[in-house]
Amino acid sequence: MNIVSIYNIKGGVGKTAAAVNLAYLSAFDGFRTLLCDFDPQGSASFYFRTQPSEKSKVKKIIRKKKNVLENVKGSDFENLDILPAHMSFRKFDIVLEKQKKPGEVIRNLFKGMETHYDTIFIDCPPNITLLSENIIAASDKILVPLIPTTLSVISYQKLLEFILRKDMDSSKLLAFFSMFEKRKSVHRDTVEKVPAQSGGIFLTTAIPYSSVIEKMGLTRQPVPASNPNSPASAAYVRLWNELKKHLFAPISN
Amino acid sequence: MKYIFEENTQDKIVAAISSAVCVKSNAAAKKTIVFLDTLDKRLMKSSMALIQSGKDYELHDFDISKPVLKVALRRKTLPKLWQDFPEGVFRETLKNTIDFRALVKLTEAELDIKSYNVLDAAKKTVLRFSFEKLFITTEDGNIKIIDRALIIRPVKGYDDFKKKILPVIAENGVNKARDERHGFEVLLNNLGLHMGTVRPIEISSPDISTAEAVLEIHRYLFQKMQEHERGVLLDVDSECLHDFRVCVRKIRSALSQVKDVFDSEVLSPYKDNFKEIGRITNKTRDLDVYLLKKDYYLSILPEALRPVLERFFRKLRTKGKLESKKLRSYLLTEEYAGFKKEWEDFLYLKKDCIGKNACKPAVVTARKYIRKSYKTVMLKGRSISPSSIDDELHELRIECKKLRYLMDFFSPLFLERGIKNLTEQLKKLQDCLGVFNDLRVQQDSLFEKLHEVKHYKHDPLFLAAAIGGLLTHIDMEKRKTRMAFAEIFKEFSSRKNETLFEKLLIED
Repeated sequence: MNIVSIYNIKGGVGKTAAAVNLAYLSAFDGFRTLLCDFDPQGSASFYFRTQPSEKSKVKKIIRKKKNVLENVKGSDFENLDILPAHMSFRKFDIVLEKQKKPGEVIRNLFKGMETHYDTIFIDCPPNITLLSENIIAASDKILVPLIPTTLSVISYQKLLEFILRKDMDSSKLLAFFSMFEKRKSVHRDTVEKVPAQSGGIFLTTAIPYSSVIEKMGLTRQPVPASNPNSPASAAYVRLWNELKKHLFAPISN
Repeated sequence: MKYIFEENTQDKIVAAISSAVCVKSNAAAKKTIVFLDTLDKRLMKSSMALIQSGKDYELHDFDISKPVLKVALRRKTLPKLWQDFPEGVFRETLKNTIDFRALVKLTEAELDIKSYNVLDAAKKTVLRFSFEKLFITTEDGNIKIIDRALIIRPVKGYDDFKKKILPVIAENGVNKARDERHGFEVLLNNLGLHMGTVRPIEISSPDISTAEAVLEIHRYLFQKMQEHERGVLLDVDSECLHDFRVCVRKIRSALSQVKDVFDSEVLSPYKDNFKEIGRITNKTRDLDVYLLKKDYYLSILPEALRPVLERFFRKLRTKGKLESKKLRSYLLTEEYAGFKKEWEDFLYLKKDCIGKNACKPAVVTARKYIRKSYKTVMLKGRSISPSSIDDELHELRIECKKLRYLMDFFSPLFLERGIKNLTEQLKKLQDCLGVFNDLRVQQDSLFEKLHEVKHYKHDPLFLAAAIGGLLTHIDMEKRKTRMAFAEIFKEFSSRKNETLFEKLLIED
């Protein structure tokens, strides 16, 4: 089983769109997939039209795997389930701090889930907290979407430094450019130069800025489902194919 | 969840459900579906079915009664091998299940579906239901309905909607189906095809007489032989011929090993005929084995020698096709069909028990012959030393085969005595002897080819060098296998296994 988080300290960089579309493509490929919406904003849950049950409060969810499974909802798509966000998830950090081994809660929660799922995607909230540390520790790969601008790259560097300071495995981080606009020279320069200079691993696929992706809020479907022939859909497919290589045939650096 | 409903009540049921929840109707679909599997039913043994409808292929899992994987594939002809499918989980799953075996069409049916989605307030699908009718058109043009049901598929986490709908449909004459099998499974079962492990030879009762047991064994083997014969005629894959030959070999073994059941004069022409069938298939099989080894042979030679060997294999392939054609012609002769009819009549028409073993309990006869065969294997095995010639290992291999066949034939009578465990022990020994024999046969044939090289027009020296390289490698492998044999036989003939055989054969 593989656990993939989509994470960035900055918000509005295309995390949820990536989580939703990649989870869809994973399920489409035949992998039993679970998308966990840990962001209390609940955008991923909104896209899939799922609501949490009242029993899916954070205190209960983290107690045991059975509670996670009981609160999972089937999506409209074969092989794809959602753990919808609950408002109580805004208190994730507070609840985690009270646990015996606060840094290992999420990892232990997902242990043994391979009988139910092949891939788990986690849509993470945009901050750097105990929950983030938990998710990073539990994940096999952490996808970091970046808008190709200076500030975005700086935040990525800070994340990389944070990972190294905490003695975590930095090769888990897979950055990729998101909301890329070819006509902007800053974007083009960043995409061309930053990967070699950054010291981290960058996927080669850049997700373009696209109204089709923005309209996900209206269609409430993943882009490959609503607009399978769009360049945005093709980009997510390429991203998924690149991610698969890292998950199933890891490339050593 | 499968439900039965009265005919012509579909609209009424949908109206009733719509009064309780929001229902979205989908377009009715009518599809022709084709079921594919290997001739040895590898998918069915794994409780799966490969179903094609237009460009869509799905792997249906009968244990959970739903499709688990789907893929789209546009082709003019049906796919034959796992490699014909696009890369992905579907292809990998198929590869792991069917391996090198080719897919054939098992049967075809029509499926009418009218499906609906139940939506919640956010327009999310929370439950799916469909009216499904599976039917076939018989040879005389009539429609035969295989299955007709209302299928309800709740979406995970939305049980409330299921709870709302069930009372509504119950009020409208819908009842839970007693037969929970999916329509596809009903169809395949009706054809005599069953999910899970294909049943071994079944001996209908533990008190059965030897004559009846032997007849049941032969009926099963004959049925299998004809299934594989169809594969040979259709040229499905080379393993069909191998499986066909194994059946013929088993029939011959059953005829010769379990003696004094029927009149030996009556059996004699059948024995001769089966021997002839075995002989006729030899050449085609030998060439198939060569061709199967082609990639392996090429991989052990230096690059400079590969082109000449490739040319050599191309000639073999042409020869193989010719031999295969001759074989298929033979299988289509009236003479062969006549022989099969006579054998079938023998197996199914009443006959008198005339041998001294005929009326004895099968378990008594089985013990006698298994014991005898086991002793022969132990005697021959123990007499093999490092200085023994290859033929001695070949003879031991033949005796192991005879023992194995006897154990397989009569295994239903000894299941509680651990016969499966002993068969596995014997299999390890057989595998080793099989590898040794394969290498020996390859070596002998390559030596023969070496003598023919001087007649070869293109680069005979290179071909001789290539064959020389192969012979050297094969000889090394043969010696390694010979060394491994000693350890493996030691394990087989251990006191532990001897005790297990004694327990197997002890009388009640």
